[in-house]
Amino acid sequence: MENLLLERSKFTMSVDFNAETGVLSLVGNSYPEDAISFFEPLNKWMEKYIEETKGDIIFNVKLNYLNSSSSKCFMDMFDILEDYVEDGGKVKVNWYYFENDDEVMEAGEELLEDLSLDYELIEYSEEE
Amino acid sequence: MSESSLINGNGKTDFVMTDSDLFDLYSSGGLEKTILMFKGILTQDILVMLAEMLTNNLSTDPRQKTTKKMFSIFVELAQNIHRYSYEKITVNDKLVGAGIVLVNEFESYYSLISGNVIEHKVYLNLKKNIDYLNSLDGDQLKQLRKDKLKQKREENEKGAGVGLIDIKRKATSNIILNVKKLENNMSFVSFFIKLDKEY
Repeated sequence: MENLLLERSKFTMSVDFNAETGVLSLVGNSYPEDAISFFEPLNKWMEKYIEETKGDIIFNVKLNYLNSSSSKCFMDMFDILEDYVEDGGKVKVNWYYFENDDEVMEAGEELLEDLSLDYELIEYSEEE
Repeated sequence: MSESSLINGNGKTDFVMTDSDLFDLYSSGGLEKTILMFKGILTQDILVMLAEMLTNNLSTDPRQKTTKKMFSIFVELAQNIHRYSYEKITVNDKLVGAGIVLVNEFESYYSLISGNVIEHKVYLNLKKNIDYLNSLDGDQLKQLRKDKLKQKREENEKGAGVGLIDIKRKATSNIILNVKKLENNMSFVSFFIKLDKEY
């Protein structure tokens, strides 16, 4: 199956979903005009990947900012991953935040802390 | 004779905003510094430009707490206008809301103000919602947000219904909602958000 690649814009994340390695990465800002439409192909890809490969997933999220609608869309995504884990899939979520960025750290923590997903909140300091 | 009356010239004209109205707006307040003021259609492009301008214009580090909160509150306020303003104009086949946003800097805090027209009955629901959010403490707001994120979306709902919760959680004080009743069951509503400077 094809990889999913999107370049980042000022208000949308770069997307790098690799079907061979199972490493799925989102980087940047997320406050699209219509978050549901932006996330829809990402969810579809994820569902297809799970169905076709049954492979492990490492989900890397590295954001500067996400708005409230994007938070909701992340929850939808995590629902898909949670269902996969319940069916025996292996998933690890790495939620990155820039040093002292409590906003992004808390956004991740509040999304993930009540779920059954294996996750880690990772502080970084080097700009990439 | 004051300068404003000179600018005003011979008084009222047919324009919606007279010279003197504009001067009053320009010079209103006095002590605060206006960082940003915009009235018009809040397309995504304009919204992004304003949000970036806003944080670039602050003398603080863009990574700092206050700046991040400011960015966040601004985007939620602006996207509310974009989605929910009754005054909408078609731009590139999409309906986009119009309104006004204003950010002022005071010695120890910033104020973020937004305004737009909605149906009065929509205002009544909004008022209830804001009063409820203002009555909750930090833990209750956090729980409410989590519940909302878990809830199924209502049909045609573009937002998450958590924008106002996020604004309340990041603001320093309660959300102040003002209303001016207009004709034809419409209202002009404005949000006033206070954000203390944190160092």
